[in-house]
Amino acid sequence: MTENQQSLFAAVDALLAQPRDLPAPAERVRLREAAHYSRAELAAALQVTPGTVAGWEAGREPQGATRAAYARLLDGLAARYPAPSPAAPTSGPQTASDAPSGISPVPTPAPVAEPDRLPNGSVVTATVEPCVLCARPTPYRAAGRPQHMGGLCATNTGATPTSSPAGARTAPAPADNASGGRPQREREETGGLIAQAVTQALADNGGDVDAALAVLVKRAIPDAMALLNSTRVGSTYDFTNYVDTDAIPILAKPSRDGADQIWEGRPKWRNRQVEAGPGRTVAALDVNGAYLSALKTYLPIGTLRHSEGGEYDRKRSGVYLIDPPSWEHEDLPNPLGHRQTPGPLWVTDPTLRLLIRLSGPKYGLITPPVIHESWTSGASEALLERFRRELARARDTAIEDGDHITLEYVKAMYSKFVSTIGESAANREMRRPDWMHIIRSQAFANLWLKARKARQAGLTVVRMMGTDELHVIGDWRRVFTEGRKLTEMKLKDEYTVGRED
Amino acid sequence: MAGRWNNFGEFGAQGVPGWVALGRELDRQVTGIKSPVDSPRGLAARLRYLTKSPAGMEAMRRAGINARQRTIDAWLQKKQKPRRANLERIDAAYWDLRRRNLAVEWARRLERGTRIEIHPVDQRSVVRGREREIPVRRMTVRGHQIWDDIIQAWVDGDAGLLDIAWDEIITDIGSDYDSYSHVTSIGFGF
Repeated sequence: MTENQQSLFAAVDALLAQPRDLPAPAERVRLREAAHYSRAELAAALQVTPGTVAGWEAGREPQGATRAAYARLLDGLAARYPAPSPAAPTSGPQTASDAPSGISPVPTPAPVAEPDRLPNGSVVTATVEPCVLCARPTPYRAAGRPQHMGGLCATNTGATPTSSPAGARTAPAPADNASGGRPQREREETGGLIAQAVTQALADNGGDVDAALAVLVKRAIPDAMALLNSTRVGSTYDFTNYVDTDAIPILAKPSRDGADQIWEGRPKWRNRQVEAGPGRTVAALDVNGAYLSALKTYLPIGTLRHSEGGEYDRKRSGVYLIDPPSWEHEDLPNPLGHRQTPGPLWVTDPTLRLLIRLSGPKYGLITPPVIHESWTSGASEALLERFRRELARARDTAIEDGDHITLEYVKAMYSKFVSTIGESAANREMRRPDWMHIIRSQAFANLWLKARKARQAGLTVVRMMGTDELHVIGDWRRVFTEGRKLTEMKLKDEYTVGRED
Repeated sequence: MAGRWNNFGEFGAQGVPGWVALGRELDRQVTGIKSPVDSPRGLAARLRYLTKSPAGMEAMRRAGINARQRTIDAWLQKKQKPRRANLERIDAAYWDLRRRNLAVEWARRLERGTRIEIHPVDQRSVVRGREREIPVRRMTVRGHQIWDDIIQAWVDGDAGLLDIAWDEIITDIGSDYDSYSHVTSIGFGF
């Protein structure tokens, strides 16, 4: 190559490297999704955080070298997945005629850009009728027929949800993105992470299920954290990942592997009366995915703050020093679990909520607990909700499909998540021992409520232990549905208890 | 130290200089032998760790253990127990070496950078009207140079270098970087 050529090429390269307009944000999202990449994957390739990619897709502009790389990526994707031609009417009309809204069958009307106008120039409005394009109500008219202004059906924001096409949630139209706010699609897309990881692991191991599962279980913790981070995008509350345990004495461990002072209320209970009575058959029931369900709980958002005494605030969560109320009911376990040391104890929010509930007029089982001290922060039940839903959905699908590998992978993700978000060297991305205690306590509280439900329905509760075991006598299928779903119970074993006569 | 926040704490804000919090966070991540040095198990494990490599012998020397090789062998074979003073030195030597070895591993992992969470100063007892609006800040700190410096400073106990590194981190925040020259704590993983 001659020197002249070289300088020519350099000049061309410089031109190519100039900042130029990137595709519109909606198009950026479409391209990425068309290629089935997650934000995290894109971010890893471009050496930025998934949040940054989310920012670009929300309209922010990348800078410098990253911009060039992103532009190149989008160009490549655009070549592979060209935009659908805008001339043909999109799925709107078809969806509309499929929708059970009873509109007259109009032969695929084309969108009319200009709305009908009165002679004075103002837009014609009439009785609200279903739009011929999207079947959602509109007062506007175009070419004499009800239609949204300028054919902008998807952007109408006040649409009644009942009349929207049934498929809208699972297959949002690309134009949905322009509607502002947080579109539904953001909530949908992270579900791909789990399926992608499983597919990838199977491909890497040549379809060997056991080997793939071993790999997946091994990376369950980082994968769970990546999934959690992907569900945080666009969420209302930004929770704190690291609490300074040195500043919160009750969360500090006395030694390197000692336990802190929190009492989680783990149940370990057996019904003495039944064991002394005549022999009867007991069904040992198991709660499905107890810790997964327990992710739905009020979690403190920020760092815990100390306060002395006082009332219980439902909008806060954390840990509380209480006087344990006495428990006088022999047919039901103590909601505080198997506590043998007397005196005040530190309990978490779910346990306290349960105690307060049980002291109310509806239950009237105990005296109200007295709070001495607390370490709390403002709380939300929604912090892990999207994370939980993603996992629950993957679990449900895996059970339906008999997909053993996804099921085990999901199980490893949520159980390891709960056990390592405290102070664990296995998970450095988070240090929330308070959350760990709270989630566990929530699982125990859920189990207690199931025991109570069984008792109310006339069953005899024989044992309640661990996180998920409930042993009962009687026709339990009347009370609980048998199955593997999160809302159902699984029969683990049947045995005989009592004196053998 | 970044310094427009001159008389820190004058109106009741509580916190520590950022570099102190940085060091504490690194201290928190140190793992190692859990049994105490005065238990036979803890002592044996420390001595094994220290006598396995020349670096271990060097660490013992740095900690001021002047025992002859014969004595150390006798400790190892449990024929003899170290004196109280030497027990403490063995413990110090162990943690010194452990931190150095961890530092190598951490520096390798931190080449890709990590996301740190900065918890601002505690303003609950600040005089009314003097509070500042300082949110919890999360930022990705990239570049092996800065992490190499931080870890080196932490291993050497070099407060000056750690302070410089912290200043470099917070200047990336932009105009309100000075709000983070003092913090309550810092969190990160790697």
